[in-house]
Amino acid sequence: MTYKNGLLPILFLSIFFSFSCKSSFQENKISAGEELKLPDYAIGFSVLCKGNLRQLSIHSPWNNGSNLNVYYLWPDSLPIPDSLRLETVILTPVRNIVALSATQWGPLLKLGMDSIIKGVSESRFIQNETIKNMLKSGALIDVAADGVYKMEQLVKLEPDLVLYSPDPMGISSSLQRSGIKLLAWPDYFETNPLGRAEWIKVLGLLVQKEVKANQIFDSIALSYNHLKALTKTVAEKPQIFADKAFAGQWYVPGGKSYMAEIFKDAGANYVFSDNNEHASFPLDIETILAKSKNADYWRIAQATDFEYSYEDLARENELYRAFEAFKNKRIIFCNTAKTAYFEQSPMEPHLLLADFIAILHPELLPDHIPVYHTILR
Amino acid sequence: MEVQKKFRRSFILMFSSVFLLLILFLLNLLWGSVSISFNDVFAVMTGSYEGVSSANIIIIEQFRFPQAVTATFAGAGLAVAGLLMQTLFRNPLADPSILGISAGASLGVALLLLSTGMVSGQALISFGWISHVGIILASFAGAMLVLVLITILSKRLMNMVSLLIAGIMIAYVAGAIVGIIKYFSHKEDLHAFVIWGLGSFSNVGLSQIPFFIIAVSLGLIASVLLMKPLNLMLLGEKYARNLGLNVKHYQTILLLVAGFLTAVITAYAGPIAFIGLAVPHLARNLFRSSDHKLLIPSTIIIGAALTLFCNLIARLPGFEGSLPVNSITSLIGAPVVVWIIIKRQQLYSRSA
Amino acid sequence: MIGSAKILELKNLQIGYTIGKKQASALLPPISLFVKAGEFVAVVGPNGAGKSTLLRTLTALQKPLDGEIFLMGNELQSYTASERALLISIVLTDHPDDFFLKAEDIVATGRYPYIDFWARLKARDREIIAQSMELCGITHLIGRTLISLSDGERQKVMIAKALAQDTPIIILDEPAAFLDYPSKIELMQLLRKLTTEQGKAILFSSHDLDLVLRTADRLWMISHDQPLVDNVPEQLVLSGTINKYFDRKELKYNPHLAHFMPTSTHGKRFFIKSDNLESKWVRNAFLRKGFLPASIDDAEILITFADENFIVEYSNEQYIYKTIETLINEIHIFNS
Repeated sequence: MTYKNGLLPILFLSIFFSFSCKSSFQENKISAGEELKLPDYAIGFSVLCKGNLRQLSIHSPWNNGSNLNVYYLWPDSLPIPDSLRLETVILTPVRNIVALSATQWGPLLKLGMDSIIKGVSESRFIQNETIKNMLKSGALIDVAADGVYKMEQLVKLEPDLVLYSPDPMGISSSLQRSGIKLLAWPDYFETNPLGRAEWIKVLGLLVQKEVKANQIFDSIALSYNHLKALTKTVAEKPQIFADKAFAGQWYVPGGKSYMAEIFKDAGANYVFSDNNEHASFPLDIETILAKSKNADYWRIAQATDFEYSYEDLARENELYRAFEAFKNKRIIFCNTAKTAYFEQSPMEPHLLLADFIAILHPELLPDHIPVYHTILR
Repeated sequence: MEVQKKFRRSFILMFSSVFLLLILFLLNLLWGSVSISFNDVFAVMTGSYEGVSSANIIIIEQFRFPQAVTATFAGAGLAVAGLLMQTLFRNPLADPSILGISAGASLGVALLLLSTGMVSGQALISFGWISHVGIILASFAGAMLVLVLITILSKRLMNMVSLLIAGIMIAYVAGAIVGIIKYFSHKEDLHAFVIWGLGSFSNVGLSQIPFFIIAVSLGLIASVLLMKPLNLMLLGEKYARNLGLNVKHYQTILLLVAGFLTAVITAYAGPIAFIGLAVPHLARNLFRSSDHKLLIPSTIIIGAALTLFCNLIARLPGFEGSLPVNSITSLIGAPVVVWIIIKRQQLYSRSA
Repeated sequence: MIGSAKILELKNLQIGYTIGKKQASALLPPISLFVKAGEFVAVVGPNGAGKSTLLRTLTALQKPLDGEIFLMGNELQSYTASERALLISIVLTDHPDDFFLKAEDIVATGRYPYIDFWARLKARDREIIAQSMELCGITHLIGRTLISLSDGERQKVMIAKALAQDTPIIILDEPAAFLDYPSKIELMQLLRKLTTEQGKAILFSSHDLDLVLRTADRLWMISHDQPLVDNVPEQLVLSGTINKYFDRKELKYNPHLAHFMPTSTHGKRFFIKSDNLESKWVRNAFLRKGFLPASIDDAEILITFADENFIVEYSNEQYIYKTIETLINEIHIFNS
């Protein structure tokens, strides 16, 4: 897909429309009649407003300055100007959408747009009752399993838009061949916890619920920032490290990752905070032991059917016993099979943060009821 | 009399194979997780499009048709590559993957994944559609690299058994390097590599189909031109040389043709197992012949038909296209190979 | 027919292998020889003497270290591979092992040097193939796969292929090696027939001296350390050359008996006075049991077959046996 003619219609249209967008985006004037709206926390998208026209750009998380998608959002209640190229236009509100991940359909449910969701993926792992019921009733279908798209069913849905997590090779190639409009959703590259939640605003634009989306996000941001402010004054910041070896490989969250941000905001000192990685990276267990042996807390997320214990952990690797956090029974545990951690926490960073604060600094949140994390018994 | 009966039998068999191939191709167009009527398929294939919903047009034109064509040509090409190698090495268990050519393709892809990750510090995904073309080129480069290595080794190593062992060793080394690369790769790219490794005929889009068909056809035509030397090679190197064949020269040509076919197909469809190994044996047993004038065309047809059949199974309702085709070809191909080994054992004990 | 023209001629030929880049290791002293049309020549020598290497060199499968080979008057190396295919055909010890390769398919490959790119057989080719199979007596094997045949039948198929190739010379490496005795004789008769009826020159190797002495026109005897000897078998026997080439301490070729005999000296000497069929087989039994043949004056044991009885005279006693079996059962008495 090419967008080389993209700016001409914008300029043309800007003559006719000179309204301004009202939203909680940061405003940034570019030229007459145009407003570049950058999100407050997210870095993965931006919106250029021109009257009723919204130019939505999804930025490449890898190449600075390049975009994965640029779409023109136009209200379908208005006549479509001839100058708008059809293939790059999304008529809003979108009525028929395939949302492949929970961070896409989750906010749609929050916006009350259940009925427009026609397709999801990996339904085996979905915990959400609304989606499960819709799957059961046939109101929506599963269009991808184990990373492989069921292209025929997907095409047959004739969705207005497919939201997908950008992934290399065949997957996006076969999606592209479907002729369906695709919108990349690289929200998981946001390292700011609020940035990930802020993607609800993109959905707000798509379904013409901008105001409601902004309200939801603003209240999340308010709670989050309030909690974050609480830890500013703590005298002592406990040391924390995270995760464990899996199949011989121990991936630790990068020093600039989402998890590292949460640790910092929760008033903890992440042992690898000096690291510059944005994603998880592999380290050998001895290096981790050397750095984290005396750390106060150890955070582990794992899916288990049973009541996970310290003994279960030590059975996986005797070396785990050497960690002080293990000896002092200070492991912060999230059972991803019993909580909706993967599904919901990206949209509820304030609850995630509260969990950590309540454990690391109990005096700050004495009445907090744990949502995802508890101290492992 | 005897000759005429034999000829009639071969003719009937060949005719039925072609018929079966056409039926299977049609079934591949008709059969999918979404049910589309014969009339719709017919309308789209004849270009009239009358009364066909746009979704159905896309499904047939962009997915079912390219997939069926890819399966047809990939199956024909892999089967012929297997036949060439079995005759070249005079080893019934030789096939494209045994010489390490498929492993070379995997190595190429893995190297691409790692090098982009190392150079830019980013996952390959960042390059969008370029990554798709990149994977095809990388797989091709890897396969050709192993091929050149094998060709050089074949000049050095006096006999074919050593070369076969060298091929297996190359495959091991390539596999080991892939393992190391996997360790350093980005998680997202690793996922992509795993998916590619499952093999699929859905990677080739309608726009790439012409190139794919031309490339595979070149290999198939080359193999048709090699029928006479192939028949001579069956006698063994010395007899072939005595009968005027420049054996070393043709060994190189056979390696190149078989390698080229494997490289192109692996690049587009990922590693597809057992077609190259099993189909030539099916053709030999069916036509009860080792004459390449008969084997080359029958291997092409049976290879295409069997692969279309496997692709059909992978898309059976219930699997909904998510079943990796490589599992199906292995499930069908492996028993064929076992059957061949048992049959050979029996033949040997009978002749002894 | 070329008559008595030299089909193959060797001048100061040195055969062997080059080890590495420079070092050459010659297997035999230089050879100068020739083969004429209609000749049936055997290359003999102990195992490992270089028979196969010599044949490989003569068929251009291997390069000579030095010297020249002339084929039909021109240097062997000057021919292209396809030209050579019309002049020399070969039969080797290892056979094609493809499971579906049929007898007639193999014979048909003999025509490959003559036919077009698409390997289409013309009527003339089919005729030659049929004739070759007829001549080798394998017409009944049409439709049979090579691996289902006996060793002898397989050998005949390969010879029919060589015939179909229609070359003035056929070179065979140990054609009789794995055959049972009647098959060996049958095969030799077939090859002999090809030389007389078709005027082919046939060169074959064998380690079976008994066989070649009985069948070949000429013998090329080779060994590591002596120059090649080329002569008719009878002359080689009478001159005692055979023993020089098959030099074994315990074994000598006995020209009287026309086979190899142990050279042991500790057996008792015997002589058979009568001369009839029974006497011949009594001798066989005594030889088999390690007794030594001697003249009538020298002998310690004298044997006669008379009046349907076997009479043995030994240390002044006379033993009479009704059958040869009873004699053999007690033969140990005469060696004590």
